[in-house]
Amino acid sequence: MTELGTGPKPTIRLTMPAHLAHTSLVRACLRDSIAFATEEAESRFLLAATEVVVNAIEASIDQCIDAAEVVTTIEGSPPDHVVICDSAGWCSPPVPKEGHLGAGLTIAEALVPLELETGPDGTVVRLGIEPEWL
Amino acid sequence: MHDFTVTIVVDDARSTATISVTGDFDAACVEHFDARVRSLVGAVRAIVVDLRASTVIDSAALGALIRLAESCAGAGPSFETVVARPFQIELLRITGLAEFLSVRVDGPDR
Repeated sequence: MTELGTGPKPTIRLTMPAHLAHTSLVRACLRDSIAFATEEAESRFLLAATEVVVNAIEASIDQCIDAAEVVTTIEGSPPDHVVICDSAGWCSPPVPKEGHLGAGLTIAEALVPLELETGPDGTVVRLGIEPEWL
Repeated sequence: MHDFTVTIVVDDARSTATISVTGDFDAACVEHFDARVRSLVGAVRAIVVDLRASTVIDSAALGALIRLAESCAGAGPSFETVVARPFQIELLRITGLAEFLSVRVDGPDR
């Protein structure tokens, strides 16, 4: 018997080719899956997610990765994180700024809690969803 | 409605072009935006970009606005950006672009 609240967190996963035209699919999925309390909270979060997704797509394109994919996962019920993964290695921002990420990620980290893991096999960005946003 | 649209209205005297952007303004839309606004710079005396109905404005979109503002500098038309929503104001604060884009905060366009 499984006690309520102790099972694995439900997730929704969207896998898509790394192409800018598909960025809107991620936003549509997030809009459909996360009931934000206000339009303002939704716009702030979607802006941050857009920056991260575009960054992942552009990194895949820059590194000429064949059949590159970006995977977006919504974790938790109610949702508490969105995780965006790509298979591209980490690229330094064009204009590095000490203590800061690239331009797009700088915007994202200013809007939502953001954790970044990088490695040779790809980049994982976790965006936090504050309970009061829902 | 989150679909990206650009509507350009030029007043009767051909002095001011108002570019109204609605929906999600992101990297995928920038090429379309650039193509729509390119010819305005030499044709009017003022350009106003109304972002009040934008639901997302990403860094690529800001890049498009910067290019347009730069093309207006010098002898070009005056340039102004209108925003209303808190996330739009916050974005311009984070990026430090409020002055460069001559931002005016107005009421929402609903």
